[in-house]
Amino acid sequence: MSTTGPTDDQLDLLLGVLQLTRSDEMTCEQWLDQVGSYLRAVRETGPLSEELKRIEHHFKLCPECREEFEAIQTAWEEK
Amino acid sequence: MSERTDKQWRAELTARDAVAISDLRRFLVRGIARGLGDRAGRDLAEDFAQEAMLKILDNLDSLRADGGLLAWCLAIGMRTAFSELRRSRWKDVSLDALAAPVREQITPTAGPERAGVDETKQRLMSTLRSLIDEELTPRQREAILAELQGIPQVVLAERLGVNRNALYKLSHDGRMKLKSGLQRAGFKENEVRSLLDDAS
Repeated sequence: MSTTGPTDDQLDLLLGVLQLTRSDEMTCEQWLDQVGSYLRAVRETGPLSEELKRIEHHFKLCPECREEFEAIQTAWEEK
Repeated sequence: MSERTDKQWRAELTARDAVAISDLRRFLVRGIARGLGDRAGRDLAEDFAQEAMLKILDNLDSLRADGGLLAWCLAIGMRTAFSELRRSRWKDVSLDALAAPVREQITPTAGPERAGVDETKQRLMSTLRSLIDEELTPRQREAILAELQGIPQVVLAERLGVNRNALYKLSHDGRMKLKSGLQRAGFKENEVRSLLDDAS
């Protein structure tokens, strides 16, 4: 574990995250309830509802949820 | 696996029907194994599926699952699997250094590669460092600095004694403070974006 504070690169990353930060973000739990709808919307590549756009926005801010969703998508498409 | 509607799944799982439980478990093992690819073997996928089954059965009553119960079950399975893998990867790493205020830690010195950096960008970075120290609570600071270092949320949440949802909110509140602090310090959003674009 590094003992240094944030490097300039990390602050750059944080500034990028702050650009995306907004008051109505979805949390890591909230999107799970709508994952079926989101999977369908992504597959159909149609316009997303406002609620599903919030999922998309969450994935931009949360790489762990994005990684999980990509794995779900892989499994779902092959089921 | 027989085709069931969400309503049938819910009724059978709620009744702890052995066939439905067995079908769902098989679906989860296959899905988790496919989703994880070479990140884990079949044995681990079976363990993750077993753990996910318990969570699913415990949470059926509160489930909304708009758009498909099976997709929700798969999401619970995948979250369980990734959480375990991330926890295992970080199990021997100490997080103590993250709690120290930024100014007490070693900060990068201005080397030749920084010499040409625009003065406004330097001021922006300096303001951001001050905001991290002065505006954030210790827990918000710890959460945000840990995220910047790539520490998984499951690991950090356990360290802070909260669940992943609460951790996200903690970090979100901190980010909102930093964003607002930058605006108060006179940095407009488009100016920050432009400085970031210049740096990339």
